[in-house]
Amino acid sequence: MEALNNINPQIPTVILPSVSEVTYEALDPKYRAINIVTTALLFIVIAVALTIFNYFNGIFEERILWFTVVIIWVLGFSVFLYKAIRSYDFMGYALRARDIIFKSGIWFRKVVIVPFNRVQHCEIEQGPIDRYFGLATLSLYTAGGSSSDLSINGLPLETANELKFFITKKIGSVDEEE
Amino acid sequence: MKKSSDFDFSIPQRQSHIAILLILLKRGKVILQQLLPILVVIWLGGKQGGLYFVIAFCIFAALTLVYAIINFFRTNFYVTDDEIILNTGVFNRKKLSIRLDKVQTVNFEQTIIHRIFDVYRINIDTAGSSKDEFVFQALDIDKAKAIQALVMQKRGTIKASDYGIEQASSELYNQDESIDSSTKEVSILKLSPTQLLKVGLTENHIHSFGVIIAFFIYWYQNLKDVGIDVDEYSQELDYQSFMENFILVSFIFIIIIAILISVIRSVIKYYDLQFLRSAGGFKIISGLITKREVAAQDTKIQYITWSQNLLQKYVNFFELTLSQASSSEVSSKQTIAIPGLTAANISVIASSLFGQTAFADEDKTHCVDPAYFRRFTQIIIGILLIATIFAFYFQLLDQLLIFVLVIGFLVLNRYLKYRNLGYSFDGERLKIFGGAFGKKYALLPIYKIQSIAFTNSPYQQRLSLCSLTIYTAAGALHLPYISEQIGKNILDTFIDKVETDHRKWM
Repeated sequence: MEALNNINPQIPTVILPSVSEVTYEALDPKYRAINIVTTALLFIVIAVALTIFNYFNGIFEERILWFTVVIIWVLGFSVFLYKAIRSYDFMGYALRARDIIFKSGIWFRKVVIVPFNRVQHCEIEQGPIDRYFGLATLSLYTAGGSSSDLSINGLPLETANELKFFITKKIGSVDEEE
Repeated sequence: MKKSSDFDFSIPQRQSHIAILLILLKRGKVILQQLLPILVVIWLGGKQGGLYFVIAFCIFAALTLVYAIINFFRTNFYVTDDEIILNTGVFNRKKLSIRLDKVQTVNFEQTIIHRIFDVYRINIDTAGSSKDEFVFQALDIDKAKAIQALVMQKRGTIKASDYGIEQASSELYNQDESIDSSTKEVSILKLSPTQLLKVGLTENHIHSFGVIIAFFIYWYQNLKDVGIDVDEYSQELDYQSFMENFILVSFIFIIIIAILISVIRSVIKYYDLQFLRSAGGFKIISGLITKREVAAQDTKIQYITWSQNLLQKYVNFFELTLSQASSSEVSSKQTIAIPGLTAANISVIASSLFGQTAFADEDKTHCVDPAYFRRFTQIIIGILLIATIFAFYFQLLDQLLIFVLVIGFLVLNRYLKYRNLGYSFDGERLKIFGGAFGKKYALLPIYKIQSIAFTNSPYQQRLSLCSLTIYTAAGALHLPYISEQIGKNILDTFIDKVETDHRKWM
């Protein structure tokens, strides 16, 4: 074991800043409302579409089929609604001197870290619903492909702008260092 | 051979005249593909249509020729102090320029026509979003070599003046940039015909097998579309006695064909393969019909993997892939595979790239949690139970048997994967061990990491486990089912390294 330690010395993590110790900042509470509204809208659209489809095609004429569809709809709606309500509590971001951390997921937890010196560019996006609530999404793009990019939804536009300014400045200063 | 100084690239240069022929063929192929349905209709129109067919074909051929000639005379290129400029376009003038310091590599390619006339197709690869193709269809060999030398040399001087003093202090930059790239080339591998045959015979035949099956399905569909009912034909045959022999014979037949396809494909792809170490990069030359010369710069290579399947283990060959950063999305085009290497070859490559010799299973310091296997098995057995109930309900016992066999294979595969999976890391590099029936290794310098994602599912949360996804500019690497404590440790260590190491990832 000792021989192993010699070729592969352990780095005492205590001296490193630890990701597990950061305190996350919450997103704007209005983001929860947006999630609920969009989820409800989506399921209402699905329900209307199914009803119209049934009206013209009569495909669910058999009671049992129609019943199954309704049950699936109700189950789906409750799960997604629960997710819309609760997911807000599990989301958060933390800004550190050299990187940004974003966590999300109720059941499947995910923490993504993007160091500023790997950010290619950052962007602020605002959809129509976002605009109505005065919120925005901040996206950071790295060279690691689309799945590695970090998007923070539900930020107040002002905060998003400030973050973008801060990060852009960081990217610039990192470049100068090199 | 003429030297680069014999050409004055500051004045606009044209391509070789062979380019006319090549453009003609290229355009002709594209237009022919688009016109094919119309041509078929005219052809089917009977004798009257025959004449129109010939006329249409002549007009089309003449137009394409005119296009190719205009294209040739309107295409030229020249090199300024810091840019290479390509003027092109038949109807709309287009001027493409690339800054020389953005040039990653200059790649050569020779199709059969290029080889007849001894010319090269040149492809200039950039770091930017390479939507615009920067390609010269045909250049004479002297000119091609000269432009490559000039571009790489100018690129070197620009970069050197950019970095200045820093270059002297950092050994890595020294190695990468300062030496004239066209001078030193050391051969790592030259594949002899016997080795080439071995490479072909030890390929992953399951891949070829899949190709054949896909081919059959494609033709089956096509014949049906044309109106030939394949099912009907097969039903006319004496079904019982036919099927008994048919399955066995066709199985052996397909295996032989699969091996044959693998060998032919390897020969076409890797004929006369040469793998060279040039200053600051690698050079791969190979191909039977189309001869390609591809260069990979050290700076662009993000990580390397090498693998060995069961057959390759028998002849002790490894296949190496150099995973390069790609500007847009990660594509297979950016990954270069070199077969037929020995462990010693891999060591030479890995140590010259990342300062680490090839490693074997003994170096594995961390394994993945048994839950990696256990969880998969639990889920798949659950699926099997549901399938069994369905199978009994609908009387599909034959299908169930096949399903059980498939699941058995998947569980075995997962178990072997679990046994092989592992990793080890130091302050500089991450080594990943993997493979199911064969072996697979990956080596990644930590400073090339782009970002890291830490995930844990509800099941993993209960067992204090997590999975890490490590993103690089050449794709992602996974560390599944590792202890949460170690996962966090790795996360902190790696991120700290990325943030404090000032070497450029590309």
